[in-house]
Amino acid sequence: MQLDLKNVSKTIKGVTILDNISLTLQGGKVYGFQGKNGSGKTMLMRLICGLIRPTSGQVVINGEILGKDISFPRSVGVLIENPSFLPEYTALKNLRLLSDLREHLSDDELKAVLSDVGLDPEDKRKYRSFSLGMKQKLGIAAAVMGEPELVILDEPINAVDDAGVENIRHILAKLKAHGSLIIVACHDREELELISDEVLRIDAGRIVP
Amino acid sequence: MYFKYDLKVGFLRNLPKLIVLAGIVLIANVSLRRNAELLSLNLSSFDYILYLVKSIPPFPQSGEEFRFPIVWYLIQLYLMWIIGSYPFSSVYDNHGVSVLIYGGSRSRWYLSKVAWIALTVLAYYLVMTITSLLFCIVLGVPISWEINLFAVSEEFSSAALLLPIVTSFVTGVFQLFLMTLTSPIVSFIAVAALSAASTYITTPLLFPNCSQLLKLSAFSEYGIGTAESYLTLGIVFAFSLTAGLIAFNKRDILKSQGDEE
Repeated sequence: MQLDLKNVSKTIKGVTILDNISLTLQGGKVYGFQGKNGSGKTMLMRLICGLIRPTSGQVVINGEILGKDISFPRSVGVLIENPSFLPEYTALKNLRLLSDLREHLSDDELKAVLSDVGLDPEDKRKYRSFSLGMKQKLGIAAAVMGEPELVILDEPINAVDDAGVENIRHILAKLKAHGSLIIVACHDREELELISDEVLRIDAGRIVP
Repeated sequence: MYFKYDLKVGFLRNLPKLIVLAGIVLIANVSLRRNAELLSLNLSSFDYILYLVKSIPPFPQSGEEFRFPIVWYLIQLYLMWIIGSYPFSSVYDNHGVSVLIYGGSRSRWYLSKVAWIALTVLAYYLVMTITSLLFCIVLGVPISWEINLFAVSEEFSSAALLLPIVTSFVTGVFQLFLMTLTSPIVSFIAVAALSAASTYITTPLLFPNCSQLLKLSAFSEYGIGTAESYLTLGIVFAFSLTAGLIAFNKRDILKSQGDEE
């Protein structure tokens, strides 16, 4: 897995959000994106997901140009902003709905992911009755199910208790061992440095030393 | 794969909304029944169904006073609201983003929404038909294909009877295209205004005219031809689909529209 950003810039309504970013990221590593609010972290993640198109430059994933050869990365899991699911569905039913969109994962595989994030796979409660922490855990489960090659997590430990944070560390280590490329943005600097192989600082849309 | 999702989440989950439609249809049926009794008209079940989409004859050519076709407009307006309420409802939150990304293609996502519109329109007209038929069965209205409610011209062809369904589908695809450029609410207002204007001005350019039976030459002297209607709808459909696909493929999916970070 290799992700290349080649001189990527993004301008929206005359404002430069991302400014000439060039990066090469490799599979089997965790990259931490660190920066203040409005620095461009989330926009960079959206760009790598294929949700926004660069004004100039290219995003290349395993040799394929995003937006030209492929609409979205072929194997990706995302948690961007706050998690949201269908309120009248259980956690398992929500995961099944999403997994059916790309590769059908068995119930056992989906239940295993739920257990990994610390949710009860047999819980019959609807998503609408979940606490903030449970919602966040389900968001992470949806992003990592099927062990995608590219995992993008924006503020994954929001509202998660200590045990949950520990679970997330284990999951990231497992994905890393599997060869996934993991990108994490997190306000908690200590946590980000703990889980990341490399921390990239973003300021005013640029990668800074 | 997107379509399976749209079938579950966009179609089956939204079916209860059609109960409101059944209510609108029943009220319209009751109103027609009263008028038929007052005027001693012998109407068939088909008349009750066509009444829902008959609207008014071409204005001012028909020489009749302009009366806004409330029944036709309400029925079309509610369909536009249903269509506007789903495709882009969650594309800006994490769930919608996941659905879009996991399916793997912006074009397939868009085409699946077009298929969803087709299914929704068919279900919509089916509910209208079934509700009217049940009303007729309960009140002992003869079940037949006879048209007694208005005159049928020499240019009549059964293809004209399908125009309301085809027009609603094309209007929905046009509305979806507008949603990719603006927002669900702006696109809803735009197609609602277009439909309202079409009641007053009879021209195929205002294509919602094609879903008003009395605006068609099959039923009115100054109406729009059936072939002309299909040609117009074909052009609008081809344009809306192509332009919508291009626009959606280029569109930035931000946290919310106009959001910059």
